[in-house]
Amino acid sequence: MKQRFFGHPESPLFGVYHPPRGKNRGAVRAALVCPPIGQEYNRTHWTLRLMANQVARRGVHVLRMDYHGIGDSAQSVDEIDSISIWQNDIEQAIDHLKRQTGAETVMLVGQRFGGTLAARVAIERPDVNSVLLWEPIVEGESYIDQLRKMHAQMLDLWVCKMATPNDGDIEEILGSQYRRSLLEEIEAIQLNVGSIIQPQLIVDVESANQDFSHPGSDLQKIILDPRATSWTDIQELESAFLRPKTMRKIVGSIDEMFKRLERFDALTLTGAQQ
Amino acid sequence: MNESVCNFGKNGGLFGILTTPDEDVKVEGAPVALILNAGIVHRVGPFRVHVDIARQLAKQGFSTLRLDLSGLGDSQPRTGKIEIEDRAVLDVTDAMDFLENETGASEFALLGLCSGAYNAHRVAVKDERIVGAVFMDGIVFRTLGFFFRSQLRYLRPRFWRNAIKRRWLQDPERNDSEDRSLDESEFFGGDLSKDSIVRELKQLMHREVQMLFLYTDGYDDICGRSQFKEMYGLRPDNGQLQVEYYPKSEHTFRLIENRKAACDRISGWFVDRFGSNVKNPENAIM
Repeated sequence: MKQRFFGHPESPLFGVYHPPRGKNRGAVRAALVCPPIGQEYNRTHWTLRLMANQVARRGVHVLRMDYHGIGDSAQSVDEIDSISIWQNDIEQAIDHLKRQTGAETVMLVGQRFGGTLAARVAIERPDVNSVLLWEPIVEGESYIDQLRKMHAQMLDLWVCKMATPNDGDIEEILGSQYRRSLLEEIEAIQLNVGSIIQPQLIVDVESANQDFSHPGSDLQKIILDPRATSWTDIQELESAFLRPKTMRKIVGSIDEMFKRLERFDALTLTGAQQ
Repeated sequence: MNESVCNFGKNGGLFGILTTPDEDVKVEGAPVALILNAGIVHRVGPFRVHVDIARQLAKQGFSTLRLDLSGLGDSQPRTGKIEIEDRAVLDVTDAMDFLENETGASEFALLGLCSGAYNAHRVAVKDERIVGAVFMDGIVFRTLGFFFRSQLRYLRPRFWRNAIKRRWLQDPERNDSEDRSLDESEFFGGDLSKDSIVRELKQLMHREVQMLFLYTDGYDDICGRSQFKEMYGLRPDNGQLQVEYYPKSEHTFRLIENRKAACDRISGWFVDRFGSNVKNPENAIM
């Protein structure tokens, strides 16, 4: 692992690079890991580190990144007024990964809101060869509603009567202060995976029964996790998200995806555009 | 303020982020703060509290290394048969050796929450380069006063209301005793003796180590600031031994208001204790 800051020196982004191991004689394979935001970022850190390690063992250059205001990157989240900042962060990380490794195209691996951001970036970038969306946020409004509900539950169970001071610009939700303009943008999101033209792996909880229909069924593979997730359980707010079995399946599927992309010469920019 | 990556230890397998102040506010000769992992949370800390502390300290002129102990966060595991507590001591020693070589720092102050406070205590006792420590919800022992004061909780209607609501929210399929019940023995060595901790604290006092103890109501085994004196027989003051109790705060500083209060207290304590550190008074600019 090699930890690094990249991007603009005045406001750098943080990333952890996992160099590839194992044999891979084909085109350069690269994947960018886009984590969740808020407290989900902390809960998933360990699982994403393990996943990145295992994917790197399949001969893939992997970069895990933190967006502005999250983790070790510059700024605090209350300075982020639009999701376009985080989408730009992902784009910067893609460029950084390509420059550092010589890869022509990159796979985006996003979890929760990171999956949603990755999907939005993939639509705009022809050098994204595929996406893996792990329990992505499909409806922004219900996502924010759930976070607000958990926040209210947390305050309701406080040792004394407690409120968090909000104003016209800022709202505190589960330990982070968000700008209202950012929350409004998130609430307006309706993720439509059908608009992503790249091959896609989607991992979701079986019981969620979400619709991920796509016009090109051969472009999509869905992995269903039988174990329900506790994203909305206030009592699990600080529990690590650990899914070793699902993670192994995901790693295997990523390897399969790269093999298919290689077969179709889609790891190079010229091949991907054909 | 600047943030940079530090790799240290054997083969550079350990990792931390060094936050340094701008030159115009830098307090020369001040100890470098080292923030240790809280439980298994990586170096950013619960609700990013370690980042908040480090950046606030930088504004006051102090440098901070937020590190991942071996096997946590993005540090490599330490191989060989090493007890988990010894691992922390070795890791922090590696971090201090690195900073000594790279930056010339010779004195350090440790900060830790929960298990981080326990590790900070162990390191502080063993290494004389430690001149300050902030223990957040660290080692505690229940006292008679604790039992008395905690009984008073039962008189509060909100206590029962919350207990019933928590029970109601609980998932019946989850095995509570195995999955969720935590006690201090999971974070601290099971063989902690109050006498030895008192002896070690006195040793730190004798070495003139500056200490700040922060406790929250969300920490199960403490109830009120007065428990500190009951536990250790040491009277807190406004100098070398300072104690703060936050009756409305949760253990991991979930609310911005609580987090800000803790950050302000810690950075104020740094300024108060180390703000005028001048190693060689004859070299000081008058």
